[in-house]
Amino acid sequence: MVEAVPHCRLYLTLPARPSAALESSLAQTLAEADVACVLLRDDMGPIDTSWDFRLRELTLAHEVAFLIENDAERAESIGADGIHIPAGVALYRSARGKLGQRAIIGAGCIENRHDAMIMAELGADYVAFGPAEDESTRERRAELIAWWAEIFVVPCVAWDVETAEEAERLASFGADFIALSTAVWQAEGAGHRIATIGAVLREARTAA
Amino acid sequence: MTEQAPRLSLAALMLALAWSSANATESPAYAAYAQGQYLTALKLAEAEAEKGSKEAYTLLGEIYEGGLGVAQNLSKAADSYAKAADLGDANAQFSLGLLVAEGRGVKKDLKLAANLFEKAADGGQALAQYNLALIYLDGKGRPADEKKAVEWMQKAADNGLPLAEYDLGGFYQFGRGVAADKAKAADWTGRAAEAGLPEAQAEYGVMLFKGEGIAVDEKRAAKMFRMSAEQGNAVAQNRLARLYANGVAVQADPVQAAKWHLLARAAGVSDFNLDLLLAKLTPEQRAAADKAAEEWQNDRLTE
Repeated sequence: MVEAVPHCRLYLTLPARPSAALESSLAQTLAEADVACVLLRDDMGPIDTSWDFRLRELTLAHEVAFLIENDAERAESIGADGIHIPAGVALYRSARGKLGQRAIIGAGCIENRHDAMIMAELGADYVAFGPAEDESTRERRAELIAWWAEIFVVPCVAWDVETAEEAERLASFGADFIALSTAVWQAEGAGHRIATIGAVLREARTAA
Repeated sequence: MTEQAPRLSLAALMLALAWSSANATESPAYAAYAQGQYLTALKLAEAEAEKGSKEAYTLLGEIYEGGLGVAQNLSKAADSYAKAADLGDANAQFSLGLLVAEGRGVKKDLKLAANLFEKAADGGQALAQYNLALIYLDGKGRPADEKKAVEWMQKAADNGLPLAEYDLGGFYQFGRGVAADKAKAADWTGRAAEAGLPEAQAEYGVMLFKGEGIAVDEKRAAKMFRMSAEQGNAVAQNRLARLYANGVAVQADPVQAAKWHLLARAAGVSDFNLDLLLAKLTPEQRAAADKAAEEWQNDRLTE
């Protein structure tokens, strides 16, 4: 094998509304950490097209994939790489119909094996396990990831990760991407904290 | 996520000496050296050196520095280079400069190293011109001076040193010490690429692909990416994988895309889209890509 080492990377989820602090943390993160993908969350409010546009420019400059939550038309109009949707057969089919085979369509909000298998079978580009807000759902998420990584080739994302310890543990279970909780941007020194998690993942890659 | 090829970095002070000795004057000692008869070369060079040949002193320095047929002895190498340097041999001035810059066999002294590089550079030694340019850029051993860095880089590039052509292209690209000039950036980067420098091929490929400073030429860009990728440049491997994934300038080929992506990723340049593509391969395609990547690596190891 050319590569037997794990290659787990960061997946950033961004709040729908920009702020100066957020943009500065994001710039710092993209400059310092090895980021695979940026997802712009959807808060059902009015679309801020200039925020969309800035993110598209920034992700292109850093050669990071750019996804939009839920809205296929919006993704298409800004030239995003694809969308992230909650697991659901009708939702998936409609999105794939609009965006075509080339676009990335990832399925999230998966808390059981059945949904994950259905979405992968349909052709989702990745399945995301989570959210996890307490000890028992975090355990559940870890079990699902370990099970999935063992059996399937469709990449899996660990959703709503908050800490470096969690990131490291889920990477060791076989998560392909670590999606940090959108809330991490609110913390003091978010850019640094995220870069630290990125460094932990990088270390896990090189140590293996 | 993709790391840019390092450009204008000072890490290049260590350079193969083959380039300098290739320019040396032909003598019986050098002839023996070129044939790998190092002990004979050593004897002949000692005799030639006693008669005051500066090239022979330089050769002695190279033999002792490389530990060729004798135990490596850096202080002897430095002594021999110093004698040749005093006699005005530019290659020796440069080689001694490198030892002094790195503190190998002699006390590290960046100012002295800069002085030695300047002497050799004045004598037309291209590697010395190149390293002097880097010193002016970095400001260690000489006060930083981007204009002087450009002047010396230009001289080294005019002498046909591919690294200098590449870095001069970088000066024009980023507007350091000169006004930014995309056309000149593409021209000099292209020369380094044609000379076979993998970083330059990757960079030139991007310029051709985007039409930066030069007319768009996707086919030629693909060729540059391929040549660079084959030499192990991870950025170019990633670009080539994308071309295969999207069928741009080449016939779409998921196995080739996966092969080059696996190699680039193993070398530290990953790509979300291509990671997802891997999962869409049939087991047979994946096995073929793994095999192709492994064969590529094995070929490299045996080279």
